[in-house]
Amino acid sequence: MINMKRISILFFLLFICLLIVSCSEPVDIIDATHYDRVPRPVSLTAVADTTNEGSKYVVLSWAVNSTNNLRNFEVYRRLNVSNNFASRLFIEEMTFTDTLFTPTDSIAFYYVQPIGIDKFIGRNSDTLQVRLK
Amino acid sequence: MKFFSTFFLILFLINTSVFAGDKEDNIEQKGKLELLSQLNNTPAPSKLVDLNSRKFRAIVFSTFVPGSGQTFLGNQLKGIGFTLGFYGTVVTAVLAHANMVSREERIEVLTKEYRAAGNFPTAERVWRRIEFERGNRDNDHDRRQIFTIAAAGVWVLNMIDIIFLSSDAGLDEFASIPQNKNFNINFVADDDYSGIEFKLNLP
Repeated sequence: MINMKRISILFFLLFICLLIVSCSEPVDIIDATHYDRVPRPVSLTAVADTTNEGSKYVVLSWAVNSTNNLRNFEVYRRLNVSNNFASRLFIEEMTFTDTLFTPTDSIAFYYVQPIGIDKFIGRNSDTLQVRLK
Repeated sequence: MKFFSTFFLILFLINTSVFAGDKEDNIEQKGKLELLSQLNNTPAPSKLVDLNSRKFRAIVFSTFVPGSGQTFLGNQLKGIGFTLGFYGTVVTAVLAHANMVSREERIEVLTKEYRAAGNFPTAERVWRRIEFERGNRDNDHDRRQIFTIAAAGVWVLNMIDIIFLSSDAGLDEFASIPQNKNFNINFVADDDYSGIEFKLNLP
């Protein structure tokens, strides 16, 4: 004859074991890597001037704290206040001269986006406002 | 976790000690000393614990269902209090645990999404969600710990109460319906019957 009490005890102990095993401590989350995975362009500066022929130009320059996992940069520009930002070009150097302006342009906004060797697009630089001369 | 393990260890030890002296239905089991004394016609050694007493049954009841022993002995309000207190805290702990497990799974999915992110804005958005879920998960973890400890505390208090503080109100007095009541529900135990008894006084 099957002893129901002993079977109940076995199930009870099994339940307790499962309960204790399932009460594990929470696993900590991973470290955030996206902040410095690709170095962020800093110290973005611009110099606006006009050539002898009367053409407007802007010389942009920036710096990075490290060159680890850094392939190139993409420069974004917005002309005047009402327009949207558009990609200006990809560049590997940390300086860029923009000469593509019309005589009516009076203000430009720039930011630089770093691109990593692993193709991860890093954090943008601060946006810079430039008054054209 | 330590409290939780200790709690169930105590439960296991009591469980083992209780059923170590268990006997089959309708088959009387005797220990070696009892058999020897029977063979030699000498008086049987006195039992340290009377396994058939109402008090001992109440202790067994309260071990598995806190408060039921108190109710069995006639202390109904105290029994209801212990039962509600224990199961309330246990259910809350289990719910907090289930929530914590769900948050863990959510964090796992978000972590995969984070690793697959191809640009900073996406990675930042996913990372904020991971941190949000971590905060909730840690809250659930704390809640689970607190209510597990509370459940263990209620169980220990229940055992202390049933062993040292609860008095037996008596079978007859407990099982009968008071004159001013028409309906009553009780735990009852006779020689061949233990269970819940409903009584209704017809008008």
